[in-house]
Amino acid sequence: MELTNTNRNNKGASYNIVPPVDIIEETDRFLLKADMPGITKDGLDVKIDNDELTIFGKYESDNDKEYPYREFTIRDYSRSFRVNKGISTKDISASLENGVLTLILPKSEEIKPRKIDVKVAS
Amino acid sequence: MLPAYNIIDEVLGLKNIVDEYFDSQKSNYSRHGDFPLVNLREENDTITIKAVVPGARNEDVDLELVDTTLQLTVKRPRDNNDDTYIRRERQSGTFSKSVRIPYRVNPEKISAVLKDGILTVTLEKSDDAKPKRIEVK
Repeated sequence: MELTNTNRNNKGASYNIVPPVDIIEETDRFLLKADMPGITKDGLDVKIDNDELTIFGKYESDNDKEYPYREFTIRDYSRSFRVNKGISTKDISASLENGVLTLILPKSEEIKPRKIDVKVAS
Repeated sequence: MLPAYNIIDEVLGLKNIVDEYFDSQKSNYSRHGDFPLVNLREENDTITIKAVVPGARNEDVDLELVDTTLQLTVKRPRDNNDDTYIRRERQSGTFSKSVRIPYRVNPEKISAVLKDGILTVTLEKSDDAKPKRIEVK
């Protein structure tokens, strides 16, 4: 299973911040965590279109420009991923906490590990 | 005959060294940058410091004022076992940064607010650092 970064195809993506992500595999699901500091729940948009998962964070412009010494400038965030058939897309859930977006991507039944009954030939 | 010394080649060579340096810095920026990144502002005897600390909870942030230096330490614990990662781009570990304040601040009036992964610290100039008018008798 691979989530492919498809950001390159997005128009205007170069202006947006590409949030760093962690992708973690657990037995029955994948977790995707993205750092999106400054984003509130209202500004967040998670979309799945066929096999393309897009996360978008609208940054409600603060008074960033008023800081003469700046090491960071927050803009809108966006990043896309290719999701393959191993994920049950209708069951994806999202939560946002302290500027970190967590997506839970449950594995589809076909790829979940399963126990095979061994029949003893008698 | 003396060998021709080509200063242009020397200059371009130096330019390439500088360019290479900055190019390599750029690609490593997110990994090795001075974390946490801060924005600073001063207005009416108040200094505001904003720092990006995604994922940090209140207990992960440690602020210490030593004389006129504010030390900011942020812990970013790894929340999964190493071998379960398919992709790992987010930073983890302990990061700190010191910010030198240009004057003494009132330790009673420091406020720190953590919201949506952004820490905002407000410091007020201490009264004895403010200018005083002296009456001439």
